[in-house]
Amino acid sequence: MLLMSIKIFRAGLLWGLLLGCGSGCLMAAEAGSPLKAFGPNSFESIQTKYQGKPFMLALWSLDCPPCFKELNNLARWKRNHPGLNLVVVATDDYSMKVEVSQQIKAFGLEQADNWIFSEHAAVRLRYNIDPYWHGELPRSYLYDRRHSSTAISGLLKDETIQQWVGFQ
Amino acid sequence: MKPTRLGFPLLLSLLFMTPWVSAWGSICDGEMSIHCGKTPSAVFDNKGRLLAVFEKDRHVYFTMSRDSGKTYSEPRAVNLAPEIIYTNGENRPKIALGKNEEILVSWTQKTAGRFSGNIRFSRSIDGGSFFSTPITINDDGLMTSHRFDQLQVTPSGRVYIAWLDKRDKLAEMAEGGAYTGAALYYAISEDGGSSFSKNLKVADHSCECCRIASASHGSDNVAVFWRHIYGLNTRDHGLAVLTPSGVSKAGRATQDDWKIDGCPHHGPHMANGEALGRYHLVWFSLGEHHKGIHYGMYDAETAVMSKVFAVDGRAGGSHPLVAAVGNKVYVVWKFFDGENTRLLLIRSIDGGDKWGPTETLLTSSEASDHPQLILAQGKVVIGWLAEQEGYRVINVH
Repeated sequence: MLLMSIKIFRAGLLWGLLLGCGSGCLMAAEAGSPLKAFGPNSFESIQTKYQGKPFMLALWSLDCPPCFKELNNLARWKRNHPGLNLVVVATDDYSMKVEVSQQIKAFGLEQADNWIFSEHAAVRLRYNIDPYWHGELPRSYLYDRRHSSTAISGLLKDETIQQWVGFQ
Repeated sequence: MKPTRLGFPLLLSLLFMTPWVSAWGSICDGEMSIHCGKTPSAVFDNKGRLLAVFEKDRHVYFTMSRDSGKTYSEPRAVNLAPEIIYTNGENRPKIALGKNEEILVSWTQKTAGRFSGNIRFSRSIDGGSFFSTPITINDDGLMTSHRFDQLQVTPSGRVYIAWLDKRDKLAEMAEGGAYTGAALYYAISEDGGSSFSKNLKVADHSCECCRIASASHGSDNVAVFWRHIYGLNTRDHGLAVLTPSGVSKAGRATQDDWKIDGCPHHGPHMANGEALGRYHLVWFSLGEHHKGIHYGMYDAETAVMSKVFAVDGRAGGSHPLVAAVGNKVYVVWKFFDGENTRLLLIRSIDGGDKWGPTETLLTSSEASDHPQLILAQGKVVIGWLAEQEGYRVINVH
């Protein structure tokens, strides 16, 4: 019971810190690759941030080999189109934030809007993004200006991104 | 009124304080307890004791319950030297019983490099007081992926370990070629885990991140059921019978036609049917022909699937298990409804021909592990670890 209390206290402390510095607060897990904790309200804040603008939401995890190809492709797109609104969310356990930061850096994706699932139950965060998503990765959502979106499971094809970019 | 964080588990404990469910110590209440660890697996021994392993802080721990999960013995470290251990729902330490009551434990050690790992094994021949120094089962000496171990003992006492292996991918890439997915390998022990055979290959091009299911095949051999990559990117399932001299039967068991260049992170499960070579299977797909969790009966002899039944097509449904006693068949899976996760059950009393209504076995308010089948003689027991409620053991047969 004591440990339970400590755990709750610790979780409370973490959320206190997060709330204290607001939704724009950066969790600098590693210098140069800011990584934010994706909580229950983060998806809403992302939609607000890109209101009236198109954006791509790309979900990945460390334990997903095809996701690494995806990160590589996304980094190339971001390099070639610096204006691309790219939101990248790792669905890994929050304790993996250092490893996730390292990969973001390794792929040169620091210019993207980078997140990692917070300590909230992953299933709840997934549901928050899309109640019809089964959890397969990589998973991407291409949002247009009006924020109607297309969901894609598996690696994104360049043609799909090209078509989406072309529509903007 | 919304239950408080502490009140809710207590309420659940009271609700489920029946002979069927043990929830006494279900709240994580100690530094070194199964309730506070990660990814437990368990088995009942011949004396009815629950033997379990779980991971905590780079050790696999062994613990025992004489009262079906109400109280547990003080956990003992299986690996004395710490090592990073894979602990996700699909990749977890395993426990099985040898013919002479050896306690057999396998897990995947994370090694340096992306996706790399070693298949590790240790055993106790004194009821869990002392565990042997862990050995590495993969024999290629390569720093690559050997992961997702699955441990199965046959009725005759042969020990099989199967896993996903990227040695062939590494070789192909060194030659400048490309290799889709991983390969499925196995090794056998004829002496209760004292020593293992050389590594044998089941198939090239398995999917990379899904757990492997296994069941005994006759008294001496083992059947494995795994997600495979057919053609360019069709991630359906294969089933093969393994013997000491190689694969004796292999076929494509599911025909869902799920084309995805991605990771389902969602492996299958299997149980023995009443006749030799007939298996109850459950799996997940988002294919052209089947979407969601499905059940089917597969005959390894004829490679024919029958009785395919859509269990749950909703996005919240996941990680099914199947168990059978005689012609009674049980399918258990998790379902997240947006608020809580429920452990659901359907039953068949005619070998999978017809299925009864969906029942809720347990509920969890926060994060939870995949449920695990706990093998027991003539019983169907499920173990489920949840962050708020701890490790619960429920008898469904």
